[in-house]
Amino acid sequence: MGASTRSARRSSARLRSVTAAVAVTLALSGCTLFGDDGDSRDNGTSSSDDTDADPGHEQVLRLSSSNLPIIDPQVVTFGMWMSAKGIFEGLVVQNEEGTDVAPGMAESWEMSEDGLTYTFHIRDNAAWSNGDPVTAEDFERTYQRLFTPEAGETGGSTSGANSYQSSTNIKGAADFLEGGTEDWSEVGVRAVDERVLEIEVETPTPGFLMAMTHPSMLPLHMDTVEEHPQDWQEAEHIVSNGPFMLDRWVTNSSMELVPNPHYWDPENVHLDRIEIALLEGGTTGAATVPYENDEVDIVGLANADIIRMESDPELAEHIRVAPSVSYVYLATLRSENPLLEDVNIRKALSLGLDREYIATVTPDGEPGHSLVLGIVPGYDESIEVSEDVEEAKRLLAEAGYPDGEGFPEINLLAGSSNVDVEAIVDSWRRNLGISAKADTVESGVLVERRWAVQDDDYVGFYYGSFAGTPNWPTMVGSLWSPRDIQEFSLPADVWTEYQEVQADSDLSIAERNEELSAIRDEHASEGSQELADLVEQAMNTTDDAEQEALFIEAARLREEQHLIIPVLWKDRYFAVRPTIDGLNLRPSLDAYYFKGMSIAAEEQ
Amino acid sequence: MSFMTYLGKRVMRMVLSLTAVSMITFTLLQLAPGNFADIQRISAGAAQFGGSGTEDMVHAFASRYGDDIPAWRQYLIFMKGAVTWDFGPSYKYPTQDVQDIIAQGFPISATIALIAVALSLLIAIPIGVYAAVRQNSPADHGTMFLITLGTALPNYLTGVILVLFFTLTLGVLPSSGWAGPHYMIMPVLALVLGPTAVLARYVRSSMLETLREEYVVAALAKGGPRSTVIMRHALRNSLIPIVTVLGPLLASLMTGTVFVEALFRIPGLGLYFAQAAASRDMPLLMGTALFFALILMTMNLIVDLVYGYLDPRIRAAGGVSRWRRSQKSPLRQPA
Repeated sequence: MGASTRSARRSSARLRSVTAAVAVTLALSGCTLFGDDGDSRDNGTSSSDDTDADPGHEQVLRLSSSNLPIIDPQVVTFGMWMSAKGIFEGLVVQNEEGTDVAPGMAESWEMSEDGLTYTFHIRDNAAWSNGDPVTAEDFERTYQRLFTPEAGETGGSTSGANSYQSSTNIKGAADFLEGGTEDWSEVGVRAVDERVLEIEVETPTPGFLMAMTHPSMLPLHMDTVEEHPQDWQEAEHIVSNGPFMLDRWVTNSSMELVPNPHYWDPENVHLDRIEIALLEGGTTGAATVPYENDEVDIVGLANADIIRMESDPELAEHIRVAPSVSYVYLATLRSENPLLEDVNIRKALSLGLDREYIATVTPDGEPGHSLVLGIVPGYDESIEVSEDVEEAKRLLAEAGYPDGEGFPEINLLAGSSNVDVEAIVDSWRRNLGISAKADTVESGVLVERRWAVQDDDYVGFYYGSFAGTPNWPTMVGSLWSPRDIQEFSLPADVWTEYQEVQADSDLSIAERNEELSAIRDEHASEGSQELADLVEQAMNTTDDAEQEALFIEAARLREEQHLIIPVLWKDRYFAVRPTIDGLNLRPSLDAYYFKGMSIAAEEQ
Repeated sequence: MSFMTYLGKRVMRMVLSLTAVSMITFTLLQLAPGNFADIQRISAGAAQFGGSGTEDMVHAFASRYGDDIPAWRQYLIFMKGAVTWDFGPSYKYPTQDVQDIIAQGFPISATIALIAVALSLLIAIPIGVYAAVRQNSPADHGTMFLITLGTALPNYLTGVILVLFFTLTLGVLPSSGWAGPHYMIMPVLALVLGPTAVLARYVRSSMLETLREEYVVAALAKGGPRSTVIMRHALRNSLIPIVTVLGPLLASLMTGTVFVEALFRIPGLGLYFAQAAASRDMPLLMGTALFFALILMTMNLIVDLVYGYLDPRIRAAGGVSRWRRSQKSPLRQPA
């Protein structure tokens, strides 16, 4: 008995010491566990912490974002849009509606008569967050980094592609970026003096100024970037020129922005602090929980959230809608079975879609009658594709499938299961009597299969969505560019050959491009060749009206190929706390600027 | 054979296993369809590329991710760094090395796991003992029914119910995120239920067995107070099987619980692991997979060591303390 008592005591003593050890470990790790240990990413200026914040006096905007690995605006990630929201500011910014540009770093600019040269005058009081003046040379150096191949790597980043949009059309930029030339003087970017920057474009480019509001064109403080090639984005090093600056960035946890004391337009900067929770993952349809629990002030809504909020009379008033910047499309899959190489069959399938019905299935969908978004200035309804069941049936019958009889099953390859696809399937079944099915696969499988030539027993489309600047050059010239359309029009066996050339690493970039272009010239469809000519003509036209007419014609021709079938235009929904003023939702992927926003004191 | 030799052999075996794990993971990743660059193109930044992106863009991607060198060389390059605990930068988080991501994510997952397991033990042991000593009573059936329910309820569902209650109804806890100790409460609670159920069943069955042992019967027959006999004699010996379960259980929770971490948006290791697999982020996937394997094996080793420490009979019968025995009879070779 005595022995066992002793052992019990011993073991309970052991238990106590283990408990104590665990407690100590927890206490020690506790200070680093939540990322508030003031590590290297903290520049130490954030001594006033959440506890003593007084919302009545201090205007704090709380947001959540998917985790941002980097904010380098020259690399395609979500981070570049955060930069554009107000950490950096370009020569020009978008106006409140997002339809035109307004002065940013440049107080004025003029275009030469031939439409080929833009001269920007940088304002006297434009300054970086460290007090340095923002100069024309800063822009030239930044763009040199942007156009240098592999610049992402010199920026300490191996993630993702260069964010430059080729439709910006800066002279020599694409060539320099592709390694075609290493002579910087051939690129049309020149600092004339400290305050004057000259940019030449390849051809007259109507969307040029709007394209300059894209994150890729934001200036960087190149001295800092060169001094800290790996860490320049971190809070302790970063120097920025936007209305707000990065005060604190705890990796994978949170970001804090404060006003930039040297910003040129302090009257329009009202927020005292912006707290951004960087969150991993997340559950679709659960975004409203943190919002309803008063943890964040603005949140983007997925369809499930929209439905839920609309059904709540109070929350429904918080919903704000931004015009669509993206569309949903079906792109033709190549197959050994030539069925879909017949334009009339593709046309029948496109005309057989009841887009009005498909749009009712999800709250954010609108019928998408064209690959050009309806908000593009000068949008012309003549390019649209609309439901015409009679014509679709006639075309099918002509091809030997009266009432859809004997028509093979159409596969819709998609990366995630969604109701849009089901609605498309349903629409075809009802309108045309043909069967279709959703083939939902993991994203790795999707990326591999969508470019492959399918087996003889597999025909169909892949489902996808795109977003882009709503202007003609982008929507016709680069989002499904003439070259894309030419590639889609290649017969399956030529496409196989084409892909082999693309993958041939023995060829230099120039040789490869030459071979590919030869294949396209020989085998691409007539319509797609004509499309390429039209777009080139449009890009070389100085007269605005004439140019628009050419783009409209090109857009119509592209729809007539029915290689990419438009299905829906997607709006973007947000929940915004009613105390927030000055929020302008724009049809752009950054959605809004922090500048100009303010928060009214909470009504108690 | 000394204890050190024994340990050395175990460690050698771990190294071999880790090599095998690395090869299998790498091979599976190579066989998986798609690659990081292409998947990025259709997810994060997809919208920004025109149509298909240019061929040059695709090539630039390929060379950045090492697709233009043979796979076996990629593997060797990776492993060369891995042996010095340098996994290189992740594809998705290019400014962070994988070992830094692990160093940041693991303590988070481990803390949640330790608290959850400790709490589970505190709940499971009394429940198991209570059910065992009242075997076949309504109390036994009742608790075991609840326990079965607990096993059946997946932790993400528990999580959602917790959010519904604590956040949306009471409004006392933040729904998700990771900014202070109170962010731990719901994830820990969500994780407690499953292990509690498992452990309680083990305690009960093990206790039932021990209660039939002769020494317990003898202690009771000698007139020892029932509670003392149960607590001092029966319970201690019943806990040995629990240790077996505890090791792997702790290891699996420590290496991250994908669902719970995703639901509460906690930057733990499980979340990174899942993302790495989905996006084919080779260094991050390899690094986390190797780290998980290491944790699991270490846990098993610790369990084996603790085992011998807790129960001299196991020590005598082989297992950990074969070395002692072999010292006594140098002729006998370990199997």
